[in-house]
Amino acid sequence: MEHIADISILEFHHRQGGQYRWITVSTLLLAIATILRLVSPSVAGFTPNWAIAMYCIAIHLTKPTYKQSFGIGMVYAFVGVLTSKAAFPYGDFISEPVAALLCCFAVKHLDIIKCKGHTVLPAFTGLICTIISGTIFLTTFKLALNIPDSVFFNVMLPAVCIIGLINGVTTPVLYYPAEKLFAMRGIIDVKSEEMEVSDHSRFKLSPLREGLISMEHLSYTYNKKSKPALDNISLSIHQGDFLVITGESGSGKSALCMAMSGAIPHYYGGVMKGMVFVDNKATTQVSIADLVCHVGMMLDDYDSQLVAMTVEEEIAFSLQNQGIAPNKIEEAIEHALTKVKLTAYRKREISKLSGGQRQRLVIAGVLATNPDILVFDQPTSALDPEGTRDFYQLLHDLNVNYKHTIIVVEHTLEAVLPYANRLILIQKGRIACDGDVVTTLRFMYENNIYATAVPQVFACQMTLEKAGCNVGDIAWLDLDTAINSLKQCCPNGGRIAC
Amino acid sequence: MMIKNMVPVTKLIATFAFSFWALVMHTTIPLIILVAAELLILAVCGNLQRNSKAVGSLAVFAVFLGFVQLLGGGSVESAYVTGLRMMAMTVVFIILLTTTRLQDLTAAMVTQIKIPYEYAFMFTAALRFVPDFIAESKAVQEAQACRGLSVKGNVFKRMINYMSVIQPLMLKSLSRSETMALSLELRGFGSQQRHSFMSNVQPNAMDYGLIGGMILISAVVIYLRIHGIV
Amino acid sequence: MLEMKNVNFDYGNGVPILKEVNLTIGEGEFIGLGGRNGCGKTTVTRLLMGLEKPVQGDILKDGKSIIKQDASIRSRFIGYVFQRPERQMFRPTVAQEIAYGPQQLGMTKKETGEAVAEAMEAAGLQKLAYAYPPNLNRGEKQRVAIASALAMHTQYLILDEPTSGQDSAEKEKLMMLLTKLNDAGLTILLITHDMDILAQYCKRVIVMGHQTKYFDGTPQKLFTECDELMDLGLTRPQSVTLSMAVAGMKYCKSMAEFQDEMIKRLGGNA
Repeated sequence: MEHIADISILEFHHRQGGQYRWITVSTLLLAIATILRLVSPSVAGFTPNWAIAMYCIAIHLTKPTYKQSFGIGMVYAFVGVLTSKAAFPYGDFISEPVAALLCCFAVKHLDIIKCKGHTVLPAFTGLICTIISGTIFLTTFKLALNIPDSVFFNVMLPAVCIIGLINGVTTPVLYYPAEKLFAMRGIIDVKSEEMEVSDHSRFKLSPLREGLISMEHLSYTYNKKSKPALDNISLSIHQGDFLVITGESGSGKSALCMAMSGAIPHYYGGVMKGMVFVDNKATTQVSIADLVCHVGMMLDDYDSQLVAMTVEEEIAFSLQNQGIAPNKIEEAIEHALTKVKLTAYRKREISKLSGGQRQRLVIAGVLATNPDILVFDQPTSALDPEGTRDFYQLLHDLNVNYKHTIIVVEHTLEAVLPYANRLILIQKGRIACDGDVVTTLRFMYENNIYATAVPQVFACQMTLEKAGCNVGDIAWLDLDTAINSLKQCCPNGGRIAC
Repeated sequence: MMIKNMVPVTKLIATFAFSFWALVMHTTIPLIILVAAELLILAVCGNLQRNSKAVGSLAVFAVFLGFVQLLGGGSVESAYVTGLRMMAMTVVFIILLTTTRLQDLTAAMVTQIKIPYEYAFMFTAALRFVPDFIAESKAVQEAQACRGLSVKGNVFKRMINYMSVIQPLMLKSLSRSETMALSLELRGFGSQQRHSFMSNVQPNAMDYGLIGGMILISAVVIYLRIHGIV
Repeated sequence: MLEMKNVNFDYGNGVPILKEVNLTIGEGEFIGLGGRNGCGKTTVTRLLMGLEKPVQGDILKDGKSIIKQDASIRSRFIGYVFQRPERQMFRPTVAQEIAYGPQQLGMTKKETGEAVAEAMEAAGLQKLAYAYPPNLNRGEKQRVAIASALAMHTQYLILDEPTSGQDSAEKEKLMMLLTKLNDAGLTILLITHDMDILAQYCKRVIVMGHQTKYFDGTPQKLFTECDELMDLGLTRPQSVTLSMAVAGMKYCKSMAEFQDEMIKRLGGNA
């Protein structure tokens, strides 16, 4: 085991992750195909075969293996049978996987066909896969039900060709914007990435400081970017903290959260210097799955985190992934529901929950593995003021009564600061100030760094003090304190010399 | 009811058994008995009412197929056989899907039929997003209507207009897929070989008995077919 | 001028949402629409836009009934900016995105180009003309949505909670843009939960409550004279609450005003 003398120069390289992207893209496009089948407009009774178009796009975008493509075809067939009460299910189960395999083959080997710089492969796969799928389906249909040859050759096959032509148009029309989105978001083809992956298993790494999470000289640059997102960050988080991280957009707040859960570096790739220790484990030496029991994260688009049909299945999800026994899962579900006060909704379907309830469900899902640390990335952007108040009340409850350590990234500070014990200001990837709420707010105001985020009432106090007025010593962190101070300093009205 | 107590794997085997029998039989009367038996099972489970529309449209399609057979030069008997066979092979799927909870079905498919968990996940997760996407597509349609998108015009124009509803929906889903991919890893997806399930889908004595019975009936049906009786 | 006369609305399940709503929106006004969740404020705007039809009553523009016109026809004079503007975006550049509306209205290529250029200038988006819309931040997306409506030469602009999810700096930028557009003649109807915006920028506030229009007047009147604020699901803006805590202080519609008044009162140097 090697020892490291200076951790700030230790580097970790990783290629961009996203091993389950093929699953999530196929899943969501399948959901779209399902609703399109229900609502799509038709031309003389012919509609595009949306399922085939969607899985062709999914295969083009994520380039899965043959086995995965086969599975995708089967799942699309099964959902098609389930939702449309198809007239001949067995045909689907043969035609869709074969067409998916064909598409996979085309994507792997036929990508050289180009026209004006754009690949025409989607049009090709849309056309051919639809025709092959339709032909196989109709052939099995004919054999099983003894359809006469004349009908098969004169009516059914031409119909398949027409639908194939329609799909040959819809598939590329839908594919090009999708490809552009992936390109602009920097989601690149994982397998063709040449980057080396570092291995830290031979090092003996231990934190220099106490704390649930200890970041030591952490610097991080996203994959293929030149400017670092985080620059020499050192910070410790202690049990029971309620920490708020703020800063302008692009300052590195989200990157900081991601580093706590191991998503940086394992998911986002790039180059990481220094180290992050979670529960005395170095994040470069463990995988994201190993940290699941220590850190629970709620991402800013919380709806994408909900993947099950009912509330109890959603909470059970993380535990089932770990292979935990059913009776223990029962206990954990009840415990999590009690903490977020959703016990009455246990059997409810997710689609019937409101936005605020869904957010609480995401928290419950994360609490299922009983992590010490809960991280929230801009959780209130979709909530109204009342919802925001309820949300932070819940976090306060989790912090004080259930002893969770809470870390929140926020830009609207009014609602969360009453419960926080610590506020960190990040600027251009560095920690500009780390201290209790009043200290950091003063720093923000006096140095004019992200001063617009300072709560209005506190900023007012700072301005009045700066102008030389005496408005009392207590910090105006909430409205009531401010009102009391004002009543004391101006009891009668009229001019009072400062 | 007995059907409700059958575990999913038994129901899956029953589905294939009924379809197998429908394929083997090629005279009218046995097929009528088979279809009637299926409808009876559906009624006994209490699901006939709920699925009457689906069964109805399948029946209409079966009649249509019969006509197609006649027009194509087949005999009246073969027309009946075609229609009834189609009914027999599809109604049994309706029975399977309406009497089985999805979570039990996926548990059975992963633990007993050894389908990798990823595909079972794709299946249930896609269904979970369907109501959300229906609402989303309505919202996108409204937003585009407020920018002048009209629903009138010939079919081609409508198809092109419809693209301005599908494309935003698709782009939003693809953004979501990134968050979802990260979220799956953060929740330990795929980290263990063995995925546990809350549902208990182990077959019991009654299930084994039924499976045995179905194998027996299949043998009898084959025997009768060879002798030209069914 | 847009009017709602005796409008009743429900979803057909017997639960009334709006009863006998009478409302007039004059040209050039800057109106804030508030009320608790479920009070019907979004429904009012959807009825005005044509996304819903009233069960009873009439909707008029300049005296003529427009109740038979659906949203795509009303989009010629009313623009609607939804809370989640990214829902409608699918073109590769901002300029092409803004061009969508004019194209749907049947404008020629030249007319579209001019409309887009004007709209981008009005919304301050010239630098982002070739940017990729999904990569923009929330505030910028909101401005693209506003420009999309402006390019259709609308006279009225309805916005559904445009500042939700944004920080103070972005909120201020957006409200300054809306004020500028209002000064240039655009009529603005804004649904918001943010009391500070109602006080600071809106010249008239309509509050929906008890299934009808409960309050219609200036923000000052709402926050100083209305007794049922809590009942209607509203609070006072912080600047107003603070100014009411100081004896003899006048109504301060923004924190900046309150600070100036306090400094004058306490004799400090600004």
